[in-house]
Amino acid sequence: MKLNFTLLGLLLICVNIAFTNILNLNEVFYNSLINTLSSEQIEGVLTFQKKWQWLSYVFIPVLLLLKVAVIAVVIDLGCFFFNKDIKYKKLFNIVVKAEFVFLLVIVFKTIWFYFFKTDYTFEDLQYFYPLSALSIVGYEGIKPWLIYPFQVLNLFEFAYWFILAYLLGKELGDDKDKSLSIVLSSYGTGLLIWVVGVVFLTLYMG
Amino acid sequence: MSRKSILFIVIGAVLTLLGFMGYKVIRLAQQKQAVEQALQEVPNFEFVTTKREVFNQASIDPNTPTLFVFYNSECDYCRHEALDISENIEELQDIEVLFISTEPKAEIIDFSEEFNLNQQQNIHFLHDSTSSVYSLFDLTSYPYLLIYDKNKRLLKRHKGQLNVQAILRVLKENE
Repeated sequence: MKLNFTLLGLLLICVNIAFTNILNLNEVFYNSLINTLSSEQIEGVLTFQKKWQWLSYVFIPVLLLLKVAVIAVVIDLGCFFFNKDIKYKKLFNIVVKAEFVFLLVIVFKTIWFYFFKTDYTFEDLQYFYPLSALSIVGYEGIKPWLIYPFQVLNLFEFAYWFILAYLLGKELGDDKDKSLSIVLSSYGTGLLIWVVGVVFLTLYMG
Repeated sequence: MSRKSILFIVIGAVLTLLGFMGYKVIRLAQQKQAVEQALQEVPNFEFVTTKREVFNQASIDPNTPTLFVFYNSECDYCRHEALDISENIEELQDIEVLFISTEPKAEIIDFSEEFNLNQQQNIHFLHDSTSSVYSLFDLTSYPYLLIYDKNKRLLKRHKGQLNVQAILRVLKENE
């Protein structure tokens, strides 16, 4: 379990560093600020960012731990209601394994902007989510509060559900339909509450 | 308590939560949409100048574009916005700039003097004593800018700082 989590954390940090450097994220960020801030302010922001960038990489495994722990709790609750007995430690491991699929999102994103859409802005990098509903409709034509739900609706998310269900079914010795029901009713509900919460906050703060 | 009872409670709680949040989301989205529509033209407002004169929609110069700057003197980005406008005042001669704040008049005067904007003919510092800006202009953060062309048609809504060059670009692109 520890090995999988450490490996995932390290890989996440590595792909994020690669994404930042390959796509010249700092330069693109600088260009995005030109219209808003003065040159002294931009200089200040970039100096601050350079100084504290390491902290953003430290936060990656911390946030990952939090995410995995919460999802494992939610699925544990699902198992409880479906009368399935499984240890939390095992669920945590299942979630960690399934999380590997999201590494592909950053890889796909990097490939897309490096090889195909080479003329990109900071907003493009911020909002683009490969194989999502947002990549079909585009972020420019829709309301800001709809961006997140459209990002969440993506093929990686669907793959994540099926991987969770597959690994859970394997662990419980159940058929895949039953484990998919557990995943959808527990994690699916949790995700729905999360998305509605984010939409609410976007509208409220925006 | 049986497993079934807990399940019913959880389902009830989830449905209540989703229903409440869904209702709030729909209400907020409708409100935003209504304000967005209303801001397409300069809305009816009534503020007071630093000389205690009423300044409303009719007071706006009908022949020039109008820039609304909603600010708070303690906000760092607002201070940079004012500084940028002050440093590029020559380029804004053909634009009427309205600085609006809900702060006490004394602080509004201090702010206008600090950035040497108090003697400009095309710049007005306005006090909103009723805090109507929040609902009327959908003000949620500072600084907040609205750019209208000379026909008082909304060109841009911007939350956050926007430098003078970008403001002029917006006006030029829509000429």
